[in-house]
Amino acid sequence: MDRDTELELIERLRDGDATAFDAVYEAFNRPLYTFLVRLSRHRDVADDLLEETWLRLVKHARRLRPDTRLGPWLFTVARNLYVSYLRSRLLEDSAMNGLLVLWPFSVERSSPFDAASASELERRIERALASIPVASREVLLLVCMAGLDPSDAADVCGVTPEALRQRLRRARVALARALDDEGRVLDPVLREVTP
Amino acid sequence: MTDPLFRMLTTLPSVEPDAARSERVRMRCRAALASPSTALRASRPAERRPRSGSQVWPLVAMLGVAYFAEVMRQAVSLYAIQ
Repeated sequence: MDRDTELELIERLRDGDATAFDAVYEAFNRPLYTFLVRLSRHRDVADDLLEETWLRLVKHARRLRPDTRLGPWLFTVARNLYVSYLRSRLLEDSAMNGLLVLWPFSVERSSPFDAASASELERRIERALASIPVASREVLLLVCMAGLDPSDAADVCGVTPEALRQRLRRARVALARALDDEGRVLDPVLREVTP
Repeated sequence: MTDPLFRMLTTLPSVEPDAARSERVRMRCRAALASPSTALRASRPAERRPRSGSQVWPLVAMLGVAYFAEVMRQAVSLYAIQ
């Protein structure tokens, strides 16, 4: 979504235009959901937080600043809702590592072999991503997957751009280590069962 | 994004929300946008519930006092206290 379109949508949202809301919803619903599912690792939690995020937008639509940037605004709300959820439930992040479930993704595969191999790689990445701390995971999700600029991601996380760059470096190290651990566990097993 | 590790993350597919629920949320938000006061009430259903509970408490307290008074009356008559 280019900036001019975004500014126009914000103007219309401020006027209570439902079609403008539809356009924003269409553009951000899936990225927000992907972010929340991978951050929380629970579909039901992500569903609830996503709904609350959209209700917050509607509630604040008429008070949005004309120069609001919708992406960072929505991801900030979603992220803050998740933090509130964590606080209220006192969830221990590390306790849930083994419970990662892979969901059926609607992605076209070229062949059954491609599907199987891509699925295995994806599983490794998903498990590695799920095993790193939330603070690292959210940075990777915002920058690498949601496509936010590092400065926008810094705003979403409420840290300075320099602190975000440090977090990103730490997240990279943590992810590489987790992938390495995944490989150590799986590769000997795969070597045993394949000629 | 030149880092191969970060590029690998971008290959992960996005996750599709439940279509039926998404549609319900969209319609609810559209309705709320059209009527902000309705939206406020719709997003805060829990805030209205304590009212009905607060109306019950005086009745419970009255019944409690009546029960306690009757127990005392029975006790006094049982032990024939003048």
